[in-house]
Amino acid sequence: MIKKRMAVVALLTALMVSNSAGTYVYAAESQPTKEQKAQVQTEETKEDNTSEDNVPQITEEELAQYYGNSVFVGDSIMLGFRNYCTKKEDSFVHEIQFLAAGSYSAFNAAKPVTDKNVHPLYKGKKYQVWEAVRLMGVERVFILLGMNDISILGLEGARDQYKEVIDKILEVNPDVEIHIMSTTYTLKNAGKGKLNNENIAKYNELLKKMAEENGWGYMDVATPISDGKGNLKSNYCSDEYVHLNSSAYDIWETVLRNYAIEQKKVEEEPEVEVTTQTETEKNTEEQGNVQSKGLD
Amino acid sequence: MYKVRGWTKKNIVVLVGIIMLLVGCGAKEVPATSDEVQTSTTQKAKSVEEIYEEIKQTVALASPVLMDDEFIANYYGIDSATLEEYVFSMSEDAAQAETVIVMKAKEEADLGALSSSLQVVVDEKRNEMENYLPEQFAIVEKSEVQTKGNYVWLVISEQADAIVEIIEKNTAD
Repeated sequence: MIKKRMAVVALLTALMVSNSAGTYVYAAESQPTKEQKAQVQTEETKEDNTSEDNVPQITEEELAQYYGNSVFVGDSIMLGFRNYCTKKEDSFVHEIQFLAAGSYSAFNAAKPVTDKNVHPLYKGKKYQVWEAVRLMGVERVFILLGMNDISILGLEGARDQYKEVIDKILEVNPDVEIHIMSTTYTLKNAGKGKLNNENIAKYNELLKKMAEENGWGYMDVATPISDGKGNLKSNYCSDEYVHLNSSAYDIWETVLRNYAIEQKKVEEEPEVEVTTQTETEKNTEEQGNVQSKGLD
Repeated sequence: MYKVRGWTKKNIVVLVGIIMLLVGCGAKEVPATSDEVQTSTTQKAKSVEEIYEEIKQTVALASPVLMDDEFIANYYGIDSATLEEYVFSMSEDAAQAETVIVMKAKEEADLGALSSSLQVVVDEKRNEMENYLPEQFAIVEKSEVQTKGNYVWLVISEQADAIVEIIEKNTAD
């Protein structure tokens, strides 16, 4: 009987000890240290994109200002982005202005304004893009064209027409920055005639080179929404062909954010200093020359 | 048979029915007061927001996005200060021409300018879709800018008939 009681006591004691040990472990895991709390609080209060060094890279205000002084020019792909940005009232993209029209192209942009010709509207009227840019008074022009040019003009022809449009924009607005946006892909095997993904990829290379040669910006908005094999990813496509959905434009929003950060870094890079001799250095050198002459 | 002073029960029932008929026919319709008539007319006209709600509940619009004062000014030159209320809805999908615009002008004199602005929307969509998206072009071709009282509207949609019917029945002359 006593043995039985002792066994029961031992068992109960063992249970109590094991539970308390487990509790001790869980308590350690569930109770963050003061340092951890401070770190989380710091991270939660940060609103900026920060680098690994915790140095703010760009603020939301700077993003709104950067893109608020910009106009995005383009075709129906850009039109879709315009509609997306319109509903994003709390985002910097809401500040972007647009000159976009369905079926717009560099080919169309060069045509005169008539009732029939496609030109983007500004305050209810059609303008050639360089004139509309002038009226808007923006600092930066982002351009997405090509989808509707490749079939008509071929790759080099489309590139050349594109350059003509940009040259005209700069002629009328010499102080604006030009930023070229890559043409986006079609859904896999959905291309038509010359408008296929192989040609789009080649065309983008031509555009990138043109941008580099002329000191213009180049923003790749095609690769982030591709399937990694040079096609538009299916879950970013709205029509089984070429147009984009909200999810794709969510990606674009991130691309724009990162692009602005990169542009800001370029602007903030210190200029390479051309070293000039100070008077002291010059005198020291001259003294050295005199001494060496004396030795000779 | 039960009788009351010589009248059978059946006779009494018939007599009551006849009396009731005579009373009903003789009743004159009391004309509604002017207040009641006015209330009836007012109840017919809904706000533009309510009209749009009814449209959304009746038909399935293609991913509509509501555009604001800045948008209608920047793209179509429409001054929202001339509007008592409005709804300017376009499909978020650029490959869809669907557009539902209902505007109530503060002054009837502004209807001409507003109609011209909405015609610009039609012409823009027509030019964009022609030779590009033929099915959407066909939808645009059937649309037209319409006015009624201080209202002007434009509906570009496969379900335009149903939408216009809602607008017409809920807008006052």
